[in-house]
Amino acid sequence: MQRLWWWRWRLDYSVLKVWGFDGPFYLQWHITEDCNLNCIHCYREGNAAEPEISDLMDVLKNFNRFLKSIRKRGRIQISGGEPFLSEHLFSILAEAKRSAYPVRVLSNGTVMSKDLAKHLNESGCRIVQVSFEGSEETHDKIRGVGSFKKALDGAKILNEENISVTAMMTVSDINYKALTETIKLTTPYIRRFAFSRLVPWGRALTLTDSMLTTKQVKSLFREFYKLNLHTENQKDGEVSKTYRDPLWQCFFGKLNPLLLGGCSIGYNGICVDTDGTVYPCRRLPVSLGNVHDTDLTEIWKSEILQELRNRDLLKGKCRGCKLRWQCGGCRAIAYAKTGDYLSEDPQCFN
Amino acid sequence: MLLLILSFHGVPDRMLLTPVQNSGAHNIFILTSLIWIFLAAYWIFKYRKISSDYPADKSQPVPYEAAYMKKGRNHAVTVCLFDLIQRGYIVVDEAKDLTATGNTEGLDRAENALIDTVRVKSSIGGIFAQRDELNRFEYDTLRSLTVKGLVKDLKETDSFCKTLRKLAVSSIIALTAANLYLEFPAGEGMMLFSLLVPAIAFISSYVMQRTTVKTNRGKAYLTHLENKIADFNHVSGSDGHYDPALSYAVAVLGMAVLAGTIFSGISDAIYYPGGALQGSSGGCSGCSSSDIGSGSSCSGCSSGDSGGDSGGCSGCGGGGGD
Repeated sequence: MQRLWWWRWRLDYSVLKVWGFDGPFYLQWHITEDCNLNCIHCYREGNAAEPEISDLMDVLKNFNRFLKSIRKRGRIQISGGEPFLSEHLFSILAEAKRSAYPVRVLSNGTVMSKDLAKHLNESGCRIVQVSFEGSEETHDKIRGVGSFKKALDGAKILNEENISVTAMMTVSDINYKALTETIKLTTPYIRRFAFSRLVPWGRALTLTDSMLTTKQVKSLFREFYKLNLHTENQKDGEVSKTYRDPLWQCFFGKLNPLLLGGCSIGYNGICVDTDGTVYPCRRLPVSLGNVHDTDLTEIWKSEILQELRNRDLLKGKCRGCKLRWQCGGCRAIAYAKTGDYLSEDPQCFN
Repeated sequence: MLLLILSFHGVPDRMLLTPVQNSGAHNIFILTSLIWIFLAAYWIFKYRKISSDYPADKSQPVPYEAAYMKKGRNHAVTVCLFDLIQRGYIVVDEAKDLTATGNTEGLDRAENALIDTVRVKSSIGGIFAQRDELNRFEYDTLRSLTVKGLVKDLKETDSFCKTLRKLAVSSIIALTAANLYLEFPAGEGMMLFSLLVPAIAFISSYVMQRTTVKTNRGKAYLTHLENKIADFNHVSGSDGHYDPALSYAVAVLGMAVLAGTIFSGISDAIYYPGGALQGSSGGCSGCSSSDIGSGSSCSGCSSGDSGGDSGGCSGCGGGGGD
């Protein structure tokens, strides 16, 4: 018994970890500041200059070199602003196709048209993420009047063009009670549903008090987990739920002690902003350097990332948590709340 | 112990009933038991000496050999399959069937025997049904472990067990004959007790013959390996390259260390009830990724819904396979 306890303890502090992140390394790439909406919970402030196409291609080349150096496959998540407003979007998609990168576009869905969806289909992009924030009333309150209907129409058009739509909901105390309703409204047109917790940065700084409490987060997770997303409208009959928030690891509890998972900062993704600034995650606005000055390979070795990788350095509740290597908490929320990216995730219910 | 007490303190009155006992012939039982105790001590000493010679091959065991030492044949088969998949000798398809790529370069005899079970596309159940091939795998594994001085030599163990059985049978026959000839009274328990020792030895010899016994070197190696695994300082599986450390970890800790990782698809494909050692580490059982090797890091997504989509946070990208 004592030996079992000792061995268990050794595993908790074991330094051998087994990779639990999705295969391709993701680049979250903000290609434009331009946006047709003015959402109250947006983590961006939108004051950087629009990038030239040559700058954008440089980013792609830099990313290619970086992936070779870390010997991994990559994928690109194109974001903005509203990426469909960027005149360079399809040039980037063509280049990404040549490099065989799977690409998804993170959009508000409101500018989608049949022609655009067809063009998108031809470009090789197979996934578009569209944001939904609740019922029409709630959505419009957050994103602007009329935006819900446009987003839903956008999702419908994309679905008709056989482009997978992932619905993304940013949850705060303004809309978390509308989770099930949002899912029901969107399921006819989507393949996946995801939600992420509000990170009070940028314009969302004013919403700090709207962050969910730990109890609310837990009840939300429970509600989402129990939901059956079966729908007869979809070709494969079901909508997939995504469990990507690090706190899902705490929700499920008993885990493989060697698993390295949860927050992918410093492991399986990086973010490049419109001006080339590199962030560990777009919701964690700590600059690691600029991709136009420094190679991503060098940036990847930065001290900040080294710190973020080592979850034994986490503070507060996360420090002593047995699941820190499986979860890691949301570093962006911790930073937004305390100014220290190593502090505990304030919404953890574990 | 009882017999020794009896010999020093005399026999209780109720036993002094027959002429045979009064003549002291009952001491034959005490004598027999003492002989057996002496023989047992001698044999234990001799058995410990078997194969204690310096090993012919001082190399470390490969992962499936370590798994064999840890938990036996079925676990070794699972670990060997995992290792061969990692090294690219076997591929797993979406239906979780295994197929050999045809390349056998660099494989040892036991691995070749196992590859033969998946030469044609096979499920894990199909592999475990091929007993002849698995016996060949086990034989070659044991031979290799013996050469490396990690388990006791099977031939020597066999010969030892046969000798032990012969002596036990002779002893039982002699005691039974003595009982018949001397007409000991029944029900005293002395006869039964005297027969018990050789009978236990007889049964033990069969158990011993069927059990692989680790040498001191083998035991020390397993302890060393357990400590080593806890000290491995790297992330396994991040670049898709073969990592023997992970195979050793699976050998020692069981398939549970693959739960929720990018290897969970492989783990699902090679899991066989009674085949895999589940380990003590707990772990995810539900959320099986649809693409082998694409990974998932949560656990309980199998509640009748879509099966879920996980694999760590992907920034603002929500998730979903590409």
